[in-house]
Amino acid sequence: MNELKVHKKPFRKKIYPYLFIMPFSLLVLVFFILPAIATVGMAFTDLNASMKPHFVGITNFKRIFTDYNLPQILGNTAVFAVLSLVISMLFALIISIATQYFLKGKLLAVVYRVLWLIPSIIPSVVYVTFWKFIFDPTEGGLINEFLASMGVISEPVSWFTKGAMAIVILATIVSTISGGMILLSSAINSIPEDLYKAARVDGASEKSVITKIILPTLKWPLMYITISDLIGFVSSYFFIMLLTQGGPMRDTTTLSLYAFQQAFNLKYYGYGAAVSLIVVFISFVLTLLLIRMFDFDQMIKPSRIED
Amino acid sequence: MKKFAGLALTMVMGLGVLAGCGSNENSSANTEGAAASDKPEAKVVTISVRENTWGARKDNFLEAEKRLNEELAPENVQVKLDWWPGIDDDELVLQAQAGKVADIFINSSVDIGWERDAGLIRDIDWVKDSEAFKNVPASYTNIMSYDGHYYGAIQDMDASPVFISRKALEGLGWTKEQIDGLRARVDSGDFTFQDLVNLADDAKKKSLVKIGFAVEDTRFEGWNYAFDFNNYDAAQNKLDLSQKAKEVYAFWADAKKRGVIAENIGDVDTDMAAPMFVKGEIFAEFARTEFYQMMREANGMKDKVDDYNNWFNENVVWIPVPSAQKGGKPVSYSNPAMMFVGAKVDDDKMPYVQKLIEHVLDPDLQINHTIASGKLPVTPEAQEDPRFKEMPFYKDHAYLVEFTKTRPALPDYATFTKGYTLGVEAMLTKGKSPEEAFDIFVKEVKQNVPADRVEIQE
Repeated sequence: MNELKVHKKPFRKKIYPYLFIMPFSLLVLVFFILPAIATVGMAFTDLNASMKPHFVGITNFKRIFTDYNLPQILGNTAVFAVLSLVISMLFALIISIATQYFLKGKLLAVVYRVLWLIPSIIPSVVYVTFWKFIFDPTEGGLINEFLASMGVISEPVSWFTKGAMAIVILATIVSTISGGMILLSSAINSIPEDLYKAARVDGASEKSVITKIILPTLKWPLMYITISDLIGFVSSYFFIMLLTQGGPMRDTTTLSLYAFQQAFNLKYYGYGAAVSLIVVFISFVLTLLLIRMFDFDQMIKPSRIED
Repeated sequence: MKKFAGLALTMVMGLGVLAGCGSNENSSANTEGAAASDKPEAKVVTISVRENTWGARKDNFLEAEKRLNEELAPENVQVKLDWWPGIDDDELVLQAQAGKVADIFINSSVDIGWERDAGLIRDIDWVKDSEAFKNVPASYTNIMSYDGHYYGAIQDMDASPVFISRKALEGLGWTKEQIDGLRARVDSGDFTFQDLVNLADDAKKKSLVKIGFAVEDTRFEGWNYAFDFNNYDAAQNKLDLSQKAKEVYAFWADAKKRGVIAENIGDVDTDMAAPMFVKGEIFAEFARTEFYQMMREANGMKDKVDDYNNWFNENVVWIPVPSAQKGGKPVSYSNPAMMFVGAKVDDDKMPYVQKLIEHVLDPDLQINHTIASGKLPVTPEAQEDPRFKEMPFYKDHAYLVEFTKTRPALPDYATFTKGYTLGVEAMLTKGKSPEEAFDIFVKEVKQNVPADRVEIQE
């Protein structure tokens, strides 16, 4: 009993952690939880520009599933998210291994990584303007000008009508690679040099070093990148909106952009909120699937101490 | 160190003396104020205005404030402007929700419907008897009112002339007399929209230009009026999706097939088009009044009005949008800006708000805005300003506003035009037929526009 008394923390100390997290909890409450609750509420109303909401039950959700645009928009979302994820992660992996294993410690590797960081630190509007200049449909566009000077084309090509989704994915990938590259590089950097030396002594090939030492080490960061990037791509619309506004027609309209357009361009706030809830639901399901796929439970188990 | 400290002290004291001298003026003013303090304190009326600095809008409000205060001095009333930068519709809605709508803000005439329904604006029926508005054309009166009341005070106006390359017409063998007589032929209905397509086609085939037609933004629905497809039925106050849309789509398909319209027409906005037109690369630019100003800037002649007018006369000819029917009337379309009065303005404040708006429409201020923005003034009195008369293009094409159509103030109009534009894009980028484009239009409108707000003829 006496011992218990000795170990009991004073109230002041107990309250400390809560005091520390309170400001951030308030921010989360005001800027995330309350808007999320408002969005859920809004999704069950017919709120539009008149700002006079009426409860309509699940009408908006019924409408989503009868919306003739839905199959195309879901397809666009899948193509955009999966291709952006796979290609950006592959590039991030290749760059990380190249600069952190093959060129480790070399100035060139540092410069190369810094170059890849530039797209992610440029403000989005400036970044998009750059891509628009590259694929400008007139003779003044960079690619059109280059191809015309080489005699490849006689008339400027309308790139945004011919390959809008490819341009959107390309722009997204280039700006996203750096995030994955940093995480993967730091993970590779944490591998003890002794492991590489031991492998070489054992006559391991470079391929074996990559597949048996480096890649297993990257399971955690790869899982994190996959989940966070995939959710980001499913719910992102900003680049697409600035680059193509979802066009031509709806060729680059993803589900989250469609939600934005319904709510803020056409002022159907209730319907837009319902579509955005579908985006949240899809992101949630994908996260659960990926956690299962990466065998998350196994990963968080305490490491075994070898006897 | 002592020397340095002495120098510093001298400087501080010197500055203090100078500051003391400088404050003499204020002091005397204060004394005057004190002497005048026997007068009752002036009533201060603060009017919040939300708009950007585009054109001379902000400057005009500030000048109007000054003029109004001179006018109100005998009544011992002082109006103070509380200026906020302009914002978009969604932020406007949020401001309204927070009870922070400005007393005056500027938005498009098309926004009356939803702003009224959302309780953002209040009626301003004083417009009916206002001296400032007594001579505006009847068409303006129509767009300022909605549902039996006035809700907006028109701030500026434009029309939609078609700017045609004079050099291209000369290249096609047209004489000066033929070119100069073109507008009269359009006005009389002798020259049709199809004739214009044919000319653009010929100019492209002869490599006189690189682009046949270019259009501002994606305001494709403006051409509908030329085909008597009006988007809106005023009698029923409903959007109108009639079979005539098929005729418009047929024109698009034909123009695309002949290369007069390129598939990227929506990507070549006026910013890009102005320098291209100046270089003679575009046959016809379907823009609005302000394109005249944009070409001036693209020409590097922003402050050289005479030089620009000479260039304009040698290189450009403009016409209203011709009718698609022989003998039909030309058309013009616009998106005029309105000054709206926030719903929180009460009857006590309204007289000051009214006077401020009326001063913004003082003829000289309207012309200041025309010079800065390239928009047209809205009152006939402003058109009498000598500076306006110095710009023949503005003066000559001002008659277009008599038949210029504006977008209806219906909340679902944006959805309606989105459907229409999807049909156009389907033909341009997917090779769809006019019938298929029409089906897309109908499908989109049926799905998204409430049935009681649109009349659909399938």
